[in-house]
Amino acid sequence: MDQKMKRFDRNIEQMMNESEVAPPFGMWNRISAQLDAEIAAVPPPAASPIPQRALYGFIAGALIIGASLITAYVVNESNKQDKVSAAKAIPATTVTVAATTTQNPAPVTETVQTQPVAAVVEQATKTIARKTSKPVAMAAPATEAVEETKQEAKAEQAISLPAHAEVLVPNHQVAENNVAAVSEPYFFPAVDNITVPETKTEKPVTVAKTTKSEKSIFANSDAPRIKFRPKKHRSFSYGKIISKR
Amino acid sequence: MSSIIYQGITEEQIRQGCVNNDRKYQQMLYNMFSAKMFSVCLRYANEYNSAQDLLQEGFVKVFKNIEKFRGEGSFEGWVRRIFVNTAIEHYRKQVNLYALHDSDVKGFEHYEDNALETLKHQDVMKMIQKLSDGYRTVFNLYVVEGFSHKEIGDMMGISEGTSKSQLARARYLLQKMITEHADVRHQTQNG
Repeated sequence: MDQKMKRFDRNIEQMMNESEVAPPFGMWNRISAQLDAEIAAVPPPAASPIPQRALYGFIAGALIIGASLITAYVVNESNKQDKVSAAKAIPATTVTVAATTTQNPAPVTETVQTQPVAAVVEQATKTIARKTSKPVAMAAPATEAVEETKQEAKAEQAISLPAHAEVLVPNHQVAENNVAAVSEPYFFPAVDNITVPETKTEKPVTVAKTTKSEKSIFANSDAPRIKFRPKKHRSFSYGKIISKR
Repeated sequence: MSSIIYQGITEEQIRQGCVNNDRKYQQMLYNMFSAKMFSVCLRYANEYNSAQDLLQEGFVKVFKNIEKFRGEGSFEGWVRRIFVNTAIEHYRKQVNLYALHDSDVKGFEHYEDNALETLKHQDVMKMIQKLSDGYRTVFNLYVVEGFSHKEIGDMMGISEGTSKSQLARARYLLQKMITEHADVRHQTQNG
């Protein structure tokens, strides 16, 4: 029975595989029409208003400009960093200022260490604030006490002067020999610091007494005056240091 | 090496023309395979108009996917497989196949081998079309296409037992129709 079924299957298979039936006329037109309809149904890719080559060029140009801007910014920042570090690395220079007073004719040396500009400005402003806030009556004994302590300190320095210690030099010699140090802008806030109370006209006479010696000191000095002009549009800045010559 | 097959154009050239969506080469391909593929469609379809729909759908699929043919096996076999899959997809949605209790039926007892020799292939095709969709599809896949019951089960989403029972029932009905047709013809010739 199985052999009979296998023969039946084989005969059917052979008959079906050999059979060819021509499709009806017009069948190809139906297929072609469906192909056309499907092609038309697929929307063509939207053409970009900008040519692709121009778009690539624009992108490349933008990348190059961006890279150059970033490089310039980085180089500029590094230069600023170098300048700041160089300013920090300047060795402490000593400037000798001879302070002559009518009461004490002996020269007084005052050692000032060079500091970064920002630190000097900050220090100067602190000093100004402190001086203006002090009552006028207390100013006279305080300045006298400072003068005494300065004299004592100088006397002690003169006594215990080491072999390589600095020699006291008159003020005009300092100005002649150390032009660069005098012309350095960050040295001068100390001068401006003292002239502030002089400009105030409402101060009593006692102020004039205390500042008389200092006035005489700096009236003879050749150091240029510096004005601090705070910027109007920037916060946390005390403006540029403008030196008048 | 492709042989010259149609108006001095090789099968490779026709395939390449179809890949380029050239309508002239697409028509050449249609002329090459339309008769064989329409026969396949008639076996799987239950009527003539359905066979035309299958033929149209199958050729559109061939033209859309012709660039996927990698040259493994014959091109005709690849085209034929597309048409078979199209027919299976078409009827799988409509047919709910289930296992029959008389799956051990061994065929029609009065069937004789010489009965089939008296029939033309168009007659056998019509008899196959008279089978229900499930019987016809399983019979075509197993007997004509040569798939195993496991493969048929995977393609149709049925079990192997269901495929076997459907095949046995289809074979029984077809042998019965062939025997009856042979008897009628014999009586006509004698009478």
